Amino acid sequence: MKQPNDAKSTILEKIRAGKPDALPRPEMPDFAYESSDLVGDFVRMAESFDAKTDHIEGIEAIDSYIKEHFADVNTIYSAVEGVSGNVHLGWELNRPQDAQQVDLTVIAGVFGVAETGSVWVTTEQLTMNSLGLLAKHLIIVLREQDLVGNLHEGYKRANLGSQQYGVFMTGPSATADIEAVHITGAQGALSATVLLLS
Amino acid sequence: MKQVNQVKNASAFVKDSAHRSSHDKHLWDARMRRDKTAAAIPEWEEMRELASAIKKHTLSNLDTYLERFEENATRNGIHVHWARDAEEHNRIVYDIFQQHGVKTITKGKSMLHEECGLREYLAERGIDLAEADLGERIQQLDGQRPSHIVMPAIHKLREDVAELFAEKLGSDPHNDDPHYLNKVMRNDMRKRFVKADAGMSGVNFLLAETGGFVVCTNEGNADISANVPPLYVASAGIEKMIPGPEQLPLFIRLLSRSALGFAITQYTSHYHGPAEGQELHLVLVDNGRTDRLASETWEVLKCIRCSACFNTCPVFRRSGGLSYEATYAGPIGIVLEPSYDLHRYAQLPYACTHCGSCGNVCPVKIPIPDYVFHWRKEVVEQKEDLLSHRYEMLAGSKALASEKLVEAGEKFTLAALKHTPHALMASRFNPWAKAHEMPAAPEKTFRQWYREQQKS
Repeated sequence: MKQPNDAKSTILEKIRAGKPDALPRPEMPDFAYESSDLVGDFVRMAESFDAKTDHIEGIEAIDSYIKEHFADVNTIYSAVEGVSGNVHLGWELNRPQDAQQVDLTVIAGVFGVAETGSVWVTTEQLTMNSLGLLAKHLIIVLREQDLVGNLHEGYKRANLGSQQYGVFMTGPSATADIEAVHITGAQGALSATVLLLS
Repeated sequence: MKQVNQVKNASAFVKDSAHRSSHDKHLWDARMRRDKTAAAIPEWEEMRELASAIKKHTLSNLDTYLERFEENATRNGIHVHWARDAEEHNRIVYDIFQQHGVKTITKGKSMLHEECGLREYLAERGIDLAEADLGERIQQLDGQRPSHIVMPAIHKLREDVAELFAEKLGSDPHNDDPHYLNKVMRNDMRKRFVKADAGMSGVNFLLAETGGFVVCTNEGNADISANVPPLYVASAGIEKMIPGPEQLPLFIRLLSRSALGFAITQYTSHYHGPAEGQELHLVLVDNGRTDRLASETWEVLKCIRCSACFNTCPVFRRSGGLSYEATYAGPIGIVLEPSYDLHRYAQLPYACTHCGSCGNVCPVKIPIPDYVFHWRKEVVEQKEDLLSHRYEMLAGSKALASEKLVEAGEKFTLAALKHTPHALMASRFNPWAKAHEMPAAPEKTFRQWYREQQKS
């Protein structure tokens, strides 16, 4: 018989009986990020994780950017206003599994982290989480003014708990599980492009 | 259970220079990258100290943090379960799957699942579970446990994987290009992801204050397993707790840098509830952790499973993880596994050269070298030590207690070094000479030389 509450009280009682004397909670210092070039740092780090980065003038330039750089994609899902897609939520895309047919997903990033080259993305930007995971290619649009220095600043901004799913995405999926050979395009996206809006 | 003989288990790997040197090199490369990336952060040492203190604080208040976590997670719509041991964990997971009629699962890599033997448990009950991490999938298909907690198949060469995939996944046996093999894996997994009835993963960090949890991976496999199927079940050891989002960046900054020398994992993912139309369960597992918390070596619970100690360990790098016959190998394994089963793992604390490097690279400052001594003491006190060791130690302590015997021993050793024929010295009767040349014999012993100096 399953008795979940029993397990809980047994575990908590064992902890109370055996835990070491309570130790204080350390204060978190302010770890400052020293750099005068957040954009440069971000680009360098993102590219070290095999992300592509590019600068664009405005949202309206993205459609032609896609035509030029993603000539061979057929299905495009866009969660960014002003960028055209040809598959849509509630039409071709109903279940999370449907994201498998998407060649390119375009989403907005909430902010980027210069220290790691990561972009913070949540369900709100993804609309359906799987669209950022199963799509072959990913474009993340990020405003340069939304760059922070290190992860300490990043987490302050992320406001954890307010979203069901939030992820720091850093480059496309990757693996080094066979003889430590670095390979981009493991189970998730094959490529990730961050378009920086100045 | 039979006692694990790590030395004997490692002998084939040690002799196989192709596998051994590849293994050694890749782990050492990770260690060197770790040093470089750590050195680039001025506050690195302060971060290690702080991470240790935060873990100690959380563990010494673990009961209240667990209760707070459960309350907040439940409010977020996460079904929280408690499991005292591996068996209870597996039963809870299986019950959930039965209620949902689950037949197929994709799963992110989890050392806790290894610890619980979950894969075998579910396989016996007819559930088709596919590991979705490349290295872990290789190990699953080969019927082996992971040899390394971050790079599960790092003891294998590409031709081993080509042969395995050809047999199990029908790929080209003559193509051992890792890019090709990765594609074979990806194509197979993609079919499974969209068919899976449920997804599973482990957990890197539990956040008490927000009632959420964090999963760190590179391949995207855990995120897909968590977000695509209608049911997601995650398992976490209770020691994964930290207070909340304020402390989290410290651990994220330390984790991947310590593991592989990279600034972060490609996917650092935070869950605070089920996706729309989904059900999310989290199983909190004890399985010996509360016993450890009450023991002298409770600081092992600070471990964030980064594998820095594996990568730096001269014994691990040369003997491979499978030789430990344990869920956790390497330095952390040799001080963790004896607490599960002292008899079975009594020889593991001897898989150590006392170089101390593990203690120096550990991002949460677990005193692994001190714990090695602790466990050796425990092994001897519980009379689980090898008889050969016991008699050596007995003879040694007798001899070293007498100055006359020590002096006689010095003279004898010098004479033996001078006069034993090389063929005998390098023979199998002298295990030390397996990989070494004996040193040239000096003219006289130090004591003889010293006495002469005193006279002149």
